Amino acid sequence: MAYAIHATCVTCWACLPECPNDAIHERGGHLVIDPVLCTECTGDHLDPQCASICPVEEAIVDATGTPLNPLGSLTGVPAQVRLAYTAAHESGGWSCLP
Amino acid sequence: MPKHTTIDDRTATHPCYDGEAHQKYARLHLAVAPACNIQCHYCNRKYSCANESRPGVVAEVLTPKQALARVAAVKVRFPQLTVVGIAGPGDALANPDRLITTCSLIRDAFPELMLCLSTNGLALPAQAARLVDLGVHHVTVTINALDPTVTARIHPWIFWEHRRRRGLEAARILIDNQLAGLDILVAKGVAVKINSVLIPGVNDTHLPELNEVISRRGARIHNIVPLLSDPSFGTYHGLMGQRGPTPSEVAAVRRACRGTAIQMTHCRQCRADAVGLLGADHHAEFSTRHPPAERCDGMGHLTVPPTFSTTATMLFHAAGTLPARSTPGPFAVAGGEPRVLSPSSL
Ligand code: SF4
Ligand code: SF4
Ligand code: SF4
Repeated sequence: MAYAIHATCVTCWACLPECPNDAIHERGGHLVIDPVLCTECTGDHLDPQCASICPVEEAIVDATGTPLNPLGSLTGVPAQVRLAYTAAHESGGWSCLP
Repeated sequence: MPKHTTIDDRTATHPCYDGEAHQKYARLHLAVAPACNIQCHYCNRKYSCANESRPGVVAEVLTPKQALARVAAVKVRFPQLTVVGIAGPGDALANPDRLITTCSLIRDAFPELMLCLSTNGLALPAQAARLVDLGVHHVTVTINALDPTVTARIHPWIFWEHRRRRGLEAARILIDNQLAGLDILVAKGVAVKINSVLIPGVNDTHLPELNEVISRRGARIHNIVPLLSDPSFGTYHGLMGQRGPTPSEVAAVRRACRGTAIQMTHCRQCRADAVGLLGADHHAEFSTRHPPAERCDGMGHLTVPPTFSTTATMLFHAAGTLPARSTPGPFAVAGGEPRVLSPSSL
């Protein structure tokens, strides 16, 4: 059982020092969770630490791909409002640098 | 530059703290702290540290050594540089290792510079004594309310003692820590500025009382800054239609504040990575990117549109502008490639 960091991560680095198993690493400019090392914090903490400090909805997902912090759960912005904003501001509008 | 002797002498040369000094003395804000431990409804973490728009690419936040190199370069260009601030893009104290390394490097290399930082205050009780040891002279604490029911409408959660806390529980812990931190700093002689974001209908009628309490506890300055809530920022306030105050509303709240803390009226809501004199930003000269349109929310934290960029890459310039005598010294690091922040490079 392990969690994973999804593409919505903004690489704020908040989760990395909180992991009790040093399971979060930087790889190729992204933060990734090592599925071998991640225990979902079982035995160390009541809550998974990465998902408890992460400020970005849907950034951390469980083994089934379900976000631990679903849309609306952290900012209070309703999912429909967030999705409309994302569609207007983040699709194609701002491009990747090489 | 003369050695600073007293806090008042130092404050008189701090452009953010002294109404006159901002015309004469320069300041530099360093973005070395990407992580944060709370959520503010006027902040979109997505843009506060993302240098590039591609999701998940490491934001080019300065490493402590890069920060030192940047200070050296800016000092050459602006000999009147008096202040180096650690501001964002997250919370300075949520990144204690980076903060401490950065402050120590700068203090050792440039003992005459003032170090200041901005924080939401959650980690202040744990870190305040260490900050004083590091020679931090000025601290800005953002306190938006002292009533948990008001605070909870501005800060939906905090990360505290290994759990995400929400609502009134979170608000109470945050307020307790902010006030305890303020007390520790004041007792140790640090000049404390309180920032409060004025949010109409949320904390506007509460701020005069807050002003009185923080004045009584020894805060030097109270900076009431208007909420910036353009919907394009993607913040809770922006997307939920919370309007910012009009200039006359800001003036009215400031007038209603009667505490001894000096009201700050010259704040330009400068960007967290700003360089130079207040009102005359030379950021572009130290960046290889175009100056972005982001604005600081007045707390040293950014509320920015999606075109946000930060300043890490100016280290190419830093290497080129260093005087020969400053190498090998601690600035030799400036000659290397700019690196993205990673704990191993601290
Ligand atoms: S769930 Fe716990 S063990 Fe797994 S990556 Fe997150 S913090 Fe580390
Ligand atoms: S805390 Fe969340 S957004 Fe920040 S680096 Fe970790 S996964 Fe990414
Ligand atoms: S404004 Fe600052 S303290 Fe508030 S959530 Fe953003 S980074 Fe954190």
